[in-house]
Amino acid sequence: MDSGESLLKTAWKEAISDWERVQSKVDFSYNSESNSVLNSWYESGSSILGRMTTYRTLNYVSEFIGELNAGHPKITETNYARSTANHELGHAMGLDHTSNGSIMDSNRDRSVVYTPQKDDINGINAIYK
Amino acid sequence: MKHKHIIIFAALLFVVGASTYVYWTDFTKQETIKVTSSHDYPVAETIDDMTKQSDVVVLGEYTSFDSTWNMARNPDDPSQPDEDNYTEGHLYNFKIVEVVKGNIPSETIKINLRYEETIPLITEQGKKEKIKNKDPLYQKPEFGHRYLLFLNKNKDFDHYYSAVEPFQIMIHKDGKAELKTNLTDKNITIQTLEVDGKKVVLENHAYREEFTDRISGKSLQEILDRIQDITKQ
Repeated sequence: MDSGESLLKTAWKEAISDWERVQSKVDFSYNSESNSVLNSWYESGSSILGRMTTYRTLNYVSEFIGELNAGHPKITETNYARSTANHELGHAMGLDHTSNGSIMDSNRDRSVVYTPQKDDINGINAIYK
Repeated sequence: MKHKHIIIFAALLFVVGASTYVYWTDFTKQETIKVTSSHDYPVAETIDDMTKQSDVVVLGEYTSFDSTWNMARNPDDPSQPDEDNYTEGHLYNFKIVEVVKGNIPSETIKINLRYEETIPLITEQGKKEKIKNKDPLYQKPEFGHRYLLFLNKNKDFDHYYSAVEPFQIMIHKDGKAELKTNLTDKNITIQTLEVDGKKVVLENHAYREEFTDRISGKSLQEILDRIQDITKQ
């Protein structure tokens, strides 16, 4: 995990804890040598709250770069950064967007839905059998 | 003479075909890096949600292209561009006919459309290359058409941008609405590139499962009335 604004760094840490608490198929560990990073960037005039880029060489995610947008006016509102961080980690683990109110739903209320939901956990269990 | 031409043509066809086959075989044998890009942005399916998430709603026309700029800024001083990141924004001039929600003092505003970003590609040797990733939600505006736009004001610069996706409704001459968005079922754009001798397949996941267009076909007046009702609440 890279250094960055403390609120966004805290959001990434909370999201890792959130995912580790609800499933046992994927573990996260810190390694300063890793090419995978969780970070932030500042994009002005954009509705994007976060982005995740994953890299697969065989059929699994070998590396990922997740970023929270420090320039989004709502990222500092209650639970927004945590909700976005959980959403992006879901992508890193292989989940796609949904439309059922889960953390992977772009139309979720980010102040209310900020941790993985049942459908998200089912998705992880289906990918990592 | 005719036979000579046929032989030359056949020989050329063979050379071109064989070269293409060899190149394609080599290309498909290359190690493939699959890069997937995903973004989190607010999505709305109804006029109610689009209105609630917007600072302003305006009716008018795009009149001209203004300029490009780097939307990635220095977090310590947003007046300066980010040296390490590049997100290309396209600014368009927009002439307002009616402000439906919010306050805008001028008759013409600039609208920023996110066009393209650069994302890092990590090769086997840990080397970072930059590859261009066109925003899958970008739609080039059509001049001479009336649009209803759902916008937020940029806090750093004097322009407006999409408050939500979708944010553009085109109003046809008969007064009927057409929702303008690429946010349709399973909209995955795929580009194939060659970087540092490796085949790179870049996938962009920009869809919402079961997205439904609930707006196209409505009349402008019906939409304006609904926005007024929501704004009063």
